[in-house]
Amino acid sequence: VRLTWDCIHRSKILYFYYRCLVVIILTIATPLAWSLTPSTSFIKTSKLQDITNFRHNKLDVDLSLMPSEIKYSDLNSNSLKDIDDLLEAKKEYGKMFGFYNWTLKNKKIVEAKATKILLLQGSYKNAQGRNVSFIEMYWANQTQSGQILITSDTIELKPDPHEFLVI
Amino acid sequence: MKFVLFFCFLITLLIGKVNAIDNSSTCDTVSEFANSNFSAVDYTKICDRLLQSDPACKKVQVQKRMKCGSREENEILNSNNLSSKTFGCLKAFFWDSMAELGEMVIKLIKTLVGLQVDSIKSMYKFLTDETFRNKLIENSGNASAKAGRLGKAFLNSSAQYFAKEYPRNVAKYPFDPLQALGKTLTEPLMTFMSSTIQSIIAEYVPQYQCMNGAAKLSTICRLGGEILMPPMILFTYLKHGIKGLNSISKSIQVTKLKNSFKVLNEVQDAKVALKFSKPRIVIKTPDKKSVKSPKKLKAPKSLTMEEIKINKIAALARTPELDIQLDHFFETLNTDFGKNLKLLEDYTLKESYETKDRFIIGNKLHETIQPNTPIHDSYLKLGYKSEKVEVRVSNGDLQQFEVLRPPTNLSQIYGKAYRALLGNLDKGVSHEDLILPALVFEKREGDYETVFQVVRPLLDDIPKAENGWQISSYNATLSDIDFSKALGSGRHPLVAQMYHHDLAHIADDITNPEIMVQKRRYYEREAKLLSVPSIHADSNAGQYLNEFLITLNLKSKKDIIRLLNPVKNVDNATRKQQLLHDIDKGDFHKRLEEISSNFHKLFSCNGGGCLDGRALFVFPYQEMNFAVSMKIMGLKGETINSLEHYLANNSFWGYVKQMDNLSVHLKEAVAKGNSAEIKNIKTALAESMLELEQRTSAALSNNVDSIQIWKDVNSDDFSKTQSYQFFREVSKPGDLESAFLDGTFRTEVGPH
Repeated sequence: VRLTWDCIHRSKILYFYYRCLVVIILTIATPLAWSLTPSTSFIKTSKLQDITNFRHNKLDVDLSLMPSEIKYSDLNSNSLKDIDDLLEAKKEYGKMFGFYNWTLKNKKIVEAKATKILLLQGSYKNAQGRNVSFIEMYWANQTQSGQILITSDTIELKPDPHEFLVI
Repeated sequence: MKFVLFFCFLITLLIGKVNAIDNSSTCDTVSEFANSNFSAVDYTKICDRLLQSDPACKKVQVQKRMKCGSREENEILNSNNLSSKTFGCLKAFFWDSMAELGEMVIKLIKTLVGLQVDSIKSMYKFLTDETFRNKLIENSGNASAKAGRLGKAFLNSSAQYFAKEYPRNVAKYPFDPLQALGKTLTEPLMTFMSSTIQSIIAEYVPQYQCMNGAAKLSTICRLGGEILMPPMILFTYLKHGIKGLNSISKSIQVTKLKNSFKVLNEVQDAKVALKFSKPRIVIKTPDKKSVKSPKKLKAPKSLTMEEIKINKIAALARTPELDIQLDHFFETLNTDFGKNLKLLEDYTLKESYETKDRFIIGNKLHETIQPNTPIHDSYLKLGYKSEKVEVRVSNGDLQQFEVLRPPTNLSQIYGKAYRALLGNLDKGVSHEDLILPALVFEKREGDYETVFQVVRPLLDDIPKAENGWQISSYNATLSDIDFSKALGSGRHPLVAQMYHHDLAHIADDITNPEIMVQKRRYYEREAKLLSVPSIHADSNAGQYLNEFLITLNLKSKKDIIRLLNPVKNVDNATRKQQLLHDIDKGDFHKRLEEISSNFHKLFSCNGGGCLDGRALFVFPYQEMNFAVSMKIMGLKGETINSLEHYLANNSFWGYVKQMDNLSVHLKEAVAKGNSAEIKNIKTALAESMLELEQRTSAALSNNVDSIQIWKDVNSDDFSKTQSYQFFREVSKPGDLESAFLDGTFRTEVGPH
């Protein structure tokens, strides 16, 4: 599998994002049987603060990248409990911006090549009233970390954790 | 201290119930007084005393001070204004800054997350409940540590969702950007912004507390932008509370905020240039006794009255009644000032390209004003007629040009300008940001002094001809400070001599109201700066603003600075010799070409003309070239002196044009073999370059705010500079980013 994405050459962090992106795409791709070809790519659509948004030029999939301060040690079994506690607060934030019916369907921590990834999957209803499927990823290794958000308002994103182990 | 004790004593004596009111022996500050629970009678009494004795209150303009009749008049948060008017002004502000709004909300989310993490149950509560907020801020350190980094990251991802959805929502609600924020967020955010801005202003400017509710509201609306965009002050306050603001109290933003407050609200600094004076050009040296000091400024008109008057005219502008009233106004003027007004009208006819000279201007207009550009449309809005004319050019050929024939009826011009400019009120532009065309009246006082009044038809009182007033026809009598005061008070002087030029400025304002707003704010500051002799001496603010607002091609600008600032620590005589040596070697011309080329890129010039529709640059450069030509020919006299003065006060670009011109003359002189002329021109070239280098060096080392651009351009990270932020204000969101990528960004227009 090969992706064309110019931005990945710009920094090590972006390169790592790229690797994660491959992970994500594979994760999404397996259940939906997507066929990624060299012509498919993510196009940068906007940048607000340090959040960079991309949109796939063929698929109805949006991707946001954001740096994070989390450490490798922050991702452990207790993290999943914390997420449950914090979910209510996050729902409040969501409501403020017009996101409703916030539902978390799956949460899991996976490890691949010395990188831990907290994977969350769920859905919400956006301001336009459309159901949006999302995958959130919080990843960290010994030196770097980041956050990735993938959404789609036309298809349901279903990650398959096994794919992470393949990469 | 004595004063404070005396004041306490006074209060004790005059108010019998003082002990019942306040058992402590300390005196109330205005702030404490405002927050206390006095009875209505006591409130009025103490309020009166405070106003009379508190130095901070005395600084505030009378019409803006607290009204002691009832408490409600002084409380902005209890008034009905808050939800309507404050929201209105903040909304109008956000309207122009949607991208910044999105960024600000993201910052807000992150800041909030950083503060309370696991304890926040409702952002709404945080925004609307001050006690709740303060408690969270106080406990933020513990809460943050308790929740950990993952929790923070998890909540931070709300910012990711917002960043992704916001642009889509903006696209869906292009005419209601606040809708894009989310209905639930809008109201608490606005309430939070209003109260926060108020707290911040009150912290930095004690006089704010002395103001009545209406004046506070107006101040919030006016200064809100300086707190919110860029939002450094807001977020410092949010993260660290009011105490945290101390760390940035000496920052430029805070200084700017304080200065803006002074200009807006304080007695000394808010004087509007309705009437001002300047020393007349000295013909003979007067003795000290005969020199009159400038007349004191007329007291400012009430802001409320100003708003009422402008609203009235804006309402008229929606009907044909405006034309009728303007006709009547000019008829009255004709009766009283017939001769001068005739001169003004004659000039409009003269400007209609019926002479050879005007055809040349037509040619230039053709080069600079491209059809279908916004500025071209603005000229048409002002009543200019587009015509095709045939002109025999220098090689004898007949060429066709489009010329813009100016309108000849003053009443119509004002009518059209008023309609276009007052229409901005409906687009969220504040009354205090409008600039309207105005007539200039002058009166001779004594031998050496002329006083002026700048009058907006139907808005300001007309001075009486029987008292010696006449309509000014020449702008040259207005000094920089007079001009700045007029612009700073929203009056654009429109006189016969500069008729076309000044209309170009008004066309600028019609084309781009953002520029008008920035221009007025700039001239308010400039008038203040120029009023202080020590600052004035160091300030060439106008010329730098010229460069600044013209365009931003960062690469060219950096190249220009590099090219103009090549030599350090060399005395003038040595440097002049070096330059002469460079001229002989040819290096000078190579460098000049490079500078010139970069200036062309900077102004987006192409071939024979600049494409950015800037008629205002045509005239100065013609005059400068003329001056240089005469200088070469050895002519001297008053005309030369005044043109040289103009030249000296003009932009860097003017110098480059001058040197380009000299280079052409040099080639001609070399061809003729005229050694004396060659020597003169080489000397003039070296001197011009030397002066330009010196000016560049001075600009780069100067600390005056208004030339910050030159320093900022040299900064490693331009995006973090004041100039960048300023440019964000005057440019459309998105344009700036591309400017940095390809270096092609430019604004459509630039003032003066």
